[in-house]
Amino acid sequence: MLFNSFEFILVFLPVVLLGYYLLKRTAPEAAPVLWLVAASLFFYSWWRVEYLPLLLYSILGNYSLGLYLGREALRPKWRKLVLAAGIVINLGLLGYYKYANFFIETLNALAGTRWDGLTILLPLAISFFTFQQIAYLVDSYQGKTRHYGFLHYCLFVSFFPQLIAGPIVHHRDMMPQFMRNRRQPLQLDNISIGLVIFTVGLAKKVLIADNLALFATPVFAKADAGGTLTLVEAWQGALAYSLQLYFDFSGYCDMAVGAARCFGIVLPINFNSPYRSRNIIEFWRRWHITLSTFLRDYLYIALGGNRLGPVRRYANLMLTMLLGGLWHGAGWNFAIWGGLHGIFLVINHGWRGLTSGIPAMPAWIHRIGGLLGMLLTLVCVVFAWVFFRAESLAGAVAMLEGMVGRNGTTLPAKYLSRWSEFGPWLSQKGVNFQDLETLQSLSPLWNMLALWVFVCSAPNIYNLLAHKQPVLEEVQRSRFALPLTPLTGFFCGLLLVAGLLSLSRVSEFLYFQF
Amino acid sequence: MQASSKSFLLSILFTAGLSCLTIIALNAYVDPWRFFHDSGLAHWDSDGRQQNPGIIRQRAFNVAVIGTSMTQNFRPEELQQLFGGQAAVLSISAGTGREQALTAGLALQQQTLDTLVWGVHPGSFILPAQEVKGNAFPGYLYDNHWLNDIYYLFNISNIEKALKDWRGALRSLSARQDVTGQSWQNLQYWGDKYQYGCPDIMALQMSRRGLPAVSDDFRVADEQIVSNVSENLLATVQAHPGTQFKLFFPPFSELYWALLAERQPLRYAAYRRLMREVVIQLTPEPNVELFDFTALQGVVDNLQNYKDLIHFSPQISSQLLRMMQAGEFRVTDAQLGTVGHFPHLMKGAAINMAVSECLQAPAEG
Repeated sequence: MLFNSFEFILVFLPVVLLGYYLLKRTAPEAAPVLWLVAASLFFYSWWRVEYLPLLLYSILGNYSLGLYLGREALRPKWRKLVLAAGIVINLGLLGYYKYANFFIETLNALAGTRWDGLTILLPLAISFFTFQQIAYLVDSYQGKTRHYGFLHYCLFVSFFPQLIAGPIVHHRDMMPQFMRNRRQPLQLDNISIGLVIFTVGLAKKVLIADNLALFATPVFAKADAGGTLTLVEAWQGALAYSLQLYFDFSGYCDMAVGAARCFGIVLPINFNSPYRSRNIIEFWRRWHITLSTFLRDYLYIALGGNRLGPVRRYANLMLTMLLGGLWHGAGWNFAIWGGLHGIFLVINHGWRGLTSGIPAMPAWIHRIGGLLGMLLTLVCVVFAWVFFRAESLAGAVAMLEGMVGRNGTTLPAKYLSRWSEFGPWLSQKGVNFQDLETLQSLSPLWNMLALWVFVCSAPNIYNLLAHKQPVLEEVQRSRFALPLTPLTGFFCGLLLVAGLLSLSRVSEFLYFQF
Repeated sequence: MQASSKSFLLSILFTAGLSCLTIIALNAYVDPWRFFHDSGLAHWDSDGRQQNPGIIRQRAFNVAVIGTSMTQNFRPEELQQLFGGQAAVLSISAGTGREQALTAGLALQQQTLDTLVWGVHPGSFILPAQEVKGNAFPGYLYDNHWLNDIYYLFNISNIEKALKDWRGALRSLSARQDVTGQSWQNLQYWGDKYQYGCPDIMALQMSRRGLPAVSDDFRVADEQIVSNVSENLLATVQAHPGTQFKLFFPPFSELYWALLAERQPLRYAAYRRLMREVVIQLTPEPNVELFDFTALQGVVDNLQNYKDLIHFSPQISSQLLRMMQAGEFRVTDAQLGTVGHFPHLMKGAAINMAVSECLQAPAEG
């Protein structure tokens, strides 16, 4: 079930919400939790019920292992062995379902073998619930977990707002809320805040991201089909995709946060205006924050982090980002994308080290530096997204060739006459004026640039609602705080209707494949 | 805090609820695709995917045409003359096998069809059996689940069309008569919009799609072809024994087949495999007549009949109908070996020569 579907918005969410608050008022303490678990498992099974046993086995197995690891009487070596076994089993399942065919294809390409691929369906959300539970096992091993009831653990893993595509939640954040929430009365404030955030997320997804796809998809399709891309059309495709992914992913996260908040559960922030970042380090503190946190806490630090000298630090960083890239998908394009970000991070850290001794600059230089940094970060990120989006390496290369101007520049024919003297001048300079299927007008490009300015400068919904604690973390308050008045309710209602109206163009979230 | 949230929630629910009801009422009243009723405000539209269900529900006919752009030039008046009764062309431009089967299924369910003419474009039936054109295909118009109607009533494109149709109707007092008097039978006809013959073929091919590109990465499993034919063609035929199905393979130009065989051998092989599968599965059915026009001499070897390498002129469409009615070029299972077999296909230099001759051919007055 998609968040952006009538089934979810008009039936599933209201029914589950109603049942939850009714049970809280009338039934024993465990009933609302049981209701949420049942609803979450139903939500998970909606696509394919075949996936459900794997999720249940995973929950049961990890819960049992966590309990066992929490026993104080265990010998350290045995405890370590049990933890290692738990991690291997979790990663083994993930590896089998997600990476087996990638491995076979790579082997065939390298060794010239002709092994057949396996007929495997990737279970939904496996990347997310595997990571959440590995964190739980590691923390159990380190004695950082308390004794959780099975029902609450089930809810921690399967809670439907965050189950399918994150945010990746931590038991430390969620369990206290699930347990504390037992006898909380119905709070209309929670539903109001949840509804606002959900509506904004829905609008981002169906009104913006889906429309941007119309400009990104044909360009990447052309590149993947071996077409030649010229400068402007390649940039238009790359910018459109970068914005599409931003609105798609942040829209999804908003919907997850909003839906959870309706139940009185506050989720962590996952997406905090990343394109506003002034460097790559900051970007990764704003983009898919819960994944970055997991990779930092359970991979980068486990590898030694920055404790073993600069060389090991940078090697750890590269490895973390490469694996982070592969987490997004089983393909070399994702590895390259991760690797590129690893390189960017290494350069960024190196630059910081080099410039750390320089005395503070005047404010205006600092401001200009910040703007240039933001621009450079955007260019790097957009270039890297090309590998993330293209279906083949050749497609990515074709896109990049277009973006660096190797195939010249073509503009829509109408501009030759419209730009009175400028058009012919450009034509003399080698710019070609011709209508391309993927570039009929420059209006979409101007609109995209305006959208870029907006996402780089406007506050996000969490900034606007900071006074209502919309997420677990403290977020920067906007100068303008969004009040929950009848007027905002009116505009929110209109936005909800606009989102609902576009739902017949159902499209999947980009992040579902991860 | 609870009080302000209460007024906020009431406001959002009231706004959303009222807006939704208004939109539903507008869409249901204008009914832009004539799904619920024969709306006098709605304009008939040439988008087959959206419009065909409305035609099927609001008009009566006993002869129907199913297929892709290959069948859009069949004239209802000719069909009526040849087969009797009232005819409807329910083609879908670039329709997949599934989309065509759903259209045929709905027509057969809602109407009593004596004859159904079905143009079997191989490209439509080598796809996965359940494939539809993504979000462009309004599946909710093809089922009888009233709950799915919400996708119709809440569709932004439908609202836009409803408003446009409504505005059109309001613009002049006579609009109501104009709209209701609009023909629904030739909505998809494109025969008079193009020029035919070599220069136009090449101009069109080059500007839009070009000649078939060289590609050898096309893979389609046999099982996919078998299941598509079985689920979409055979199942439809078997479920309606009272209807006579006239299936035919359209006459693509000889040059197209030659180019396909040389440049995209795997796709060429898949097309041939598909044609054989249709013969194997469909010819034993008593209510099926299958016609193979792929080697129709005088047509496929003369590029003057085409607007591009596959789309033929309306005159050829008329000729095909007459031939089907006369039983010419009918295929039986005994002819399995000849279907999809092109022994005299041009190769190498001959293709190049044909292309360059076509490029240099003078335009016909």
